[in-house]
Amino acid sequence: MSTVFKGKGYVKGIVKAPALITKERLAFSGFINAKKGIFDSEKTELFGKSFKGKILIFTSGKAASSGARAIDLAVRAGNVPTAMVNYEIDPITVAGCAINDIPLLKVDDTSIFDKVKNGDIVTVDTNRGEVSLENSINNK
Amino acid sequence: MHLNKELQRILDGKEGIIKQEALRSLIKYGDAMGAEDFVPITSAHTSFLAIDVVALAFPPRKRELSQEDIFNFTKEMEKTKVKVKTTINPGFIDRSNWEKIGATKEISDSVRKTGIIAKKCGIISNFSCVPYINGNIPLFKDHCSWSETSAVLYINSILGARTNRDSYEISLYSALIGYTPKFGLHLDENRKGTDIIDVQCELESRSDWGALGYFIGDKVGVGIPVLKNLNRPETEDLVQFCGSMSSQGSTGMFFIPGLSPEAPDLDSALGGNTPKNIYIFGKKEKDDTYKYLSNKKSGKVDFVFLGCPHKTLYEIAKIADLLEGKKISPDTRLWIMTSSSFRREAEDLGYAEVIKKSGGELLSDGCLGLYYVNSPLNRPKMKFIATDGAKQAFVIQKSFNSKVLYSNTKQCIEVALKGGL
Repeated sequence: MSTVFKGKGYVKGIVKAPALITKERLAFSGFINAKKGIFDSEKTELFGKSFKGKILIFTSGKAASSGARAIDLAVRAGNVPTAMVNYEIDPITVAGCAINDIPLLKVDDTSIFDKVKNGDIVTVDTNRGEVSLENSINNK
Repeated sequence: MHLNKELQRILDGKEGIIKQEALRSLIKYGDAMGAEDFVPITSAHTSFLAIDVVALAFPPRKRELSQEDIFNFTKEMEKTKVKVKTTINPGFIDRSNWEKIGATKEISDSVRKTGIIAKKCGIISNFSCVPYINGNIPLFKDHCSWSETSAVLYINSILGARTNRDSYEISLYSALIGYTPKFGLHLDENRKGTDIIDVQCELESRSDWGALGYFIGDKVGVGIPVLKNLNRPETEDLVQFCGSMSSQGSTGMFFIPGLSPEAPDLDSALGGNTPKNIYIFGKKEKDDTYKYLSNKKSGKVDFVFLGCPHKTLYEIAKIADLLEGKKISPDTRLWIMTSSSFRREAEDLGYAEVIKKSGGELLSDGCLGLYYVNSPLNRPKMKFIATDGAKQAFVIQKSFNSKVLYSNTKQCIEVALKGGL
């Protein structure tokens, strides 16, 4: 049985990868180390965690206009998040995803934050407008 | 997205490959946001500091750009003109005082060379985070494409102009094209209040406005806050308020009923919306915000930084008044940051001389964050910093491993004179 979270696609794509999830709003500029592909600010609970190859799920982007460039630098360094999932949409995050073809989906409610844990394998399908969680490692 | 003849011409490459690529990216951005049309803009505010960084907004999208890639990009960029009034955000050196902030001649030369390219493109290199005070002042209902999230808040909310929170890439693309995708805050239906902030304490200083902005940014996220029960601000209070709100949140505008051009009263600010939340900002919330922004209360202070966002000429005059005939502590540095145009005026009017005689420095073009975060510059000793800028207090705590005191301008000056508190 899979759990499905409905939403709306912003940047297209169908991808499957482990989740990296936080209920926080995230800034990219000044919060990530693009070359290492990790969050390197203690101001986020994702401090020290790698976003490369992950489906990054967070409430929304925040703060500086240089956020899209920070995403771009990470992509150029080969540290591409597989997709992003937000509950609220910030145009700076959209710009970073759109320019770099990173699938981006907005979920309709916040239930995803209670049900998905770091490392759970999730599928983002922007055509169907949904994120699906097949089997939470938390439940194994 | 619907393209008119002018845009179709650009997409066909008739105005060069830079504009063609800029439009391709704007279409991707507009498609993602569900925009159907482009809207002509009257101005842009972007970033154009180092040509090798500007080049990253365009193909080739490879890991490292070679010297040849940057040379080729520069050649194309120099032939390409922006279509609207375009200004730029602060940079990572003070162009006139680069030695004082620890930059090298090599860095200074590269910034100067990029400035020459910007000029050829028709971009005004004013290095200002408050261009809406001086240099780029949109009119009511002007559509714009602005970066610098604090300036976005100000022009939407106080001038009634219309811009989304655009990233540096998007504002540069829009400047080159003269249009931006029409969605979000360009549309009437999205310019309505979502949350109420009930202010139940006196805002006694500009830094209190900063604390309020920080509080709201943290709470409201992408919403549009409507502020209630405010005493009437000065322009500079709003500059501080916008600066601090932008360091935390994702909101692109707010309403102060009776002051914001689109909101003569609370009902028109909400535009029929029922507020999602009502947040109270009272004395406790104010005190808590100061506590969050300051992680040390007393001791020797070796650095005092004023000017985030950049100080206006009026604020520089007030600071000069406080410093007149006094000397700051020999163990403390005092830096006051502004745009180069205000610095020159302050020099002409004698304010800069007063600051210099007191032992302080009036600098321009940047800020501590831009000078020293992820930068090759040698950072001066900053064990304990006092600042009147909430955004800077946040950046310093996050990046410098220094202790920070966030306070009002007057107390920061007193700290600089005494060398601590």
